[in-house]
Amino acid sequence: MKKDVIVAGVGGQGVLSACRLIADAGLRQGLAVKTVETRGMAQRGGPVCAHVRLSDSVVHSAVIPVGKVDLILAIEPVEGLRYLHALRHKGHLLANVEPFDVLGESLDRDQVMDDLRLAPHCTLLSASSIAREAGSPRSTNVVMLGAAATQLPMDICHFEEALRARFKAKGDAVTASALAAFHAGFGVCGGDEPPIP
Amino acid sequence: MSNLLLLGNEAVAQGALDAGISGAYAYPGTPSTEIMEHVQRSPESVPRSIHSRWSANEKTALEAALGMSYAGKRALACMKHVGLNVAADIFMNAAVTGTNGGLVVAVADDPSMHSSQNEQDSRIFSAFAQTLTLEPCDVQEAYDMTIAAFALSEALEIPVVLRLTTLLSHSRSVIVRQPEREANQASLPEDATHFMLIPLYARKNWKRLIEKQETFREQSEMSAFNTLLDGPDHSVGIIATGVAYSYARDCLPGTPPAHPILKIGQYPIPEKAIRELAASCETLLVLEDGAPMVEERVKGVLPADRPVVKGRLDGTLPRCGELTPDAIACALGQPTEPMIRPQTLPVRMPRLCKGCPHVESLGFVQEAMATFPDGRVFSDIGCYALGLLPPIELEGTCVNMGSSITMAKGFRDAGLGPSVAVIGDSTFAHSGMTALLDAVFEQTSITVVILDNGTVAMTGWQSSPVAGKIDRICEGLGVDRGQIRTLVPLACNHDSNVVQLREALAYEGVSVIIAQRECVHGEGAKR
Repeated sequence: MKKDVIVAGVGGQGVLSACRLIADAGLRQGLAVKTVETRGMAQRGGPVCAHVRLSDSVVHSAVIPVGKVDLILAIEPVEGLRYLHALRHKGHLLANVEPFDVLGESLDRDQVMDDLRLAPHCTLLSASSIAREAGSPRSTNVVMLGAAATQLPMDICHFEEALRARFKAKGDAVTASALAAFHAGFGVCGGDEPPIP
Repeated sequence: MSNLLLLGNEAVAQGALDAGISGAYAYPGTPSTEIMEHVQRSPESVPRSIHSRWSANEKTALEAALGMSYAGKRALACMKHVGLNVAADIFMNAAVTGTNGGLVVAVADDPSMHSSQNEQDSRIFSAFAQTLTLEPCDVQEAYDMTIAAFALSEALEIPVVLRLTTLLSHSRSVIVRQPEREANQASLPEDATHFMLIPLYARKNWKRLIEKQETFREQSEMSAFNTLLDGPDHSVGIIATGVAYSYARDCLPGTPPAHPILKIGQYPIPEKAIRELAASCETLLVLEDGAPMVEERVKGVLPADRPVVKGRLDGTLPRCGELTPDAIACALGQPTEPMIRPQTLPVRMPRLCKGCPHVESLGFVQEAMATFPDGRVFSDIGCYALGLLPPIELEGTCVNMGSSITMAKGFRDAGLGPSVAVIGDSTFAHSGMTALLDAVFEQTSITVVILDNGTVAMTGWQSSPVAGKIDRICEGLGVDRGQIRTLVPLACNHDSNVVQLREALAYEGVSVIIAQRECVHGEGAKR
């Protein structure tokens, strides 16, 4: 079993955080995990992207070759397009349809949506709205993580444990709202929603 | 230790901690910054009194690290590739003095220039200094090699370079730790003349460095980091270094791989191992990030005609930019997958953050300069260099740390003006103060705008050593008290700021404007 994931978005959206949560859940599942993060000038609102490779055998390179990506998790729609070329012929694109701060870009939103649908399998969701409705407007990335959980080989409890570990220092309320955001994303993408413990 | 996911950089730091360092010295710079930050965050740093404050620049960092080595203790110096240029003087000479306590110089190169000015390769710099280099292929090896580097440094009395690249620095995986070593007790060098580079002793020490080279070559031949993984098909033999080795293993999975792969992780290159591989192969394919350093040296140790050596020099692989698994698969003649191409793909330019004080500062500079078509703005390394891009698009330069002030001086010396330098507070601390001294010494008519946001913002809000002292430093360097203006870059002050800058531009001599407002992320942790 191998699962190669690209997480894409814009600096400040929590791309690297989502990447680490997937990696942590993978480790809790007992998988071999390697990730690589692009940073550079990410703090300045530039594109941020992370590769996560999960496998039940050895992972050599942290970088996913073009044509081998199983899942693109796009926290921002245009950033999802940026890695479409790397998707496997049966690959899946999970994208938030709400663009991030498109000031200065003459963005043809309809064209972006059409392009996202070029993916062999495509799930589009309004993750930013879902995060707001879940009472956690900054958790778009966690909503997307919940959506991704429907496509990844790890048990839900491992994602929940990863989230609890990640938000432990921020207190019970923050942890609860992160778990709510996660389950909102999971539910929207057809995951059976277990009760939040 | 389960589930300890470390970045490549963090693995280097953990390796150094487990190797028993007494101090880490660094100036922040992508992609190297997280090495020092991990040392600072580590719970063992405080009880073990491990030095982990940021240095003013890479030169002062490496000098302090050599001083700690002289005292018999182990020290780690970390920097990005262009930082090694700043530290070049001490680096070249530390090879000549050699070390007492172990000294490791972790240098992170940035092929593809994700956040750098060039793609220079620190392996070449290390070879120039005649030191020994280790280059890890993954995060575990980054950890293991750091520990090995300290052992080699102490055994061979030489600073050891640990060469990283952006991709490895920012890769993350679980590491298996080794038993921790005790830190060294202080002990002064047995022969103190090693550290006296006056000609009488320098000649002796230089000869000693030359004589060590044979030992370094022997060490490379027996190094556990230089290994041959044989494969059945010898039509092509592969030589791979760093992350390129992990790509090669990805392209040629299975044990054994289809082709033999010689992994090089310790330099100087293992010439014997290369000759042995070459003897059975028709073609050698060299995979390395950065310069075609191994490729050139491989050609140097083989006969001219056989085998054919392919790599970045003959165009088999791209000459610039990071290597990718895709480029390597292509070089191996493997089929490529059909790609989905979207119709639209907007470019997302990096921009200054909302509310950033630099936006206002660059705004008043631009307006004051608008009436001078021959005037130029010399910018520097920092977030504000984004002012050269849309939407601001200042007419000017961005070259290297501190060059804004001295280039502005040279421009003025050439008879052009007005000449304005724009430099951040930490860049000023790093390399701007001596530049300002040059201008003061000659009373060159330049205006230096120091953007004081109180932190090293671009690399993640590290502490700035000149915070709260810039006006006094400028005065101390000899700038006339009346020509040091401190103002607040806010939209409501725009017009008065333009007026103040115009007054400064009109002054014959050195004028300084300190534009003082905290980074909008200033509440973020300052370390």
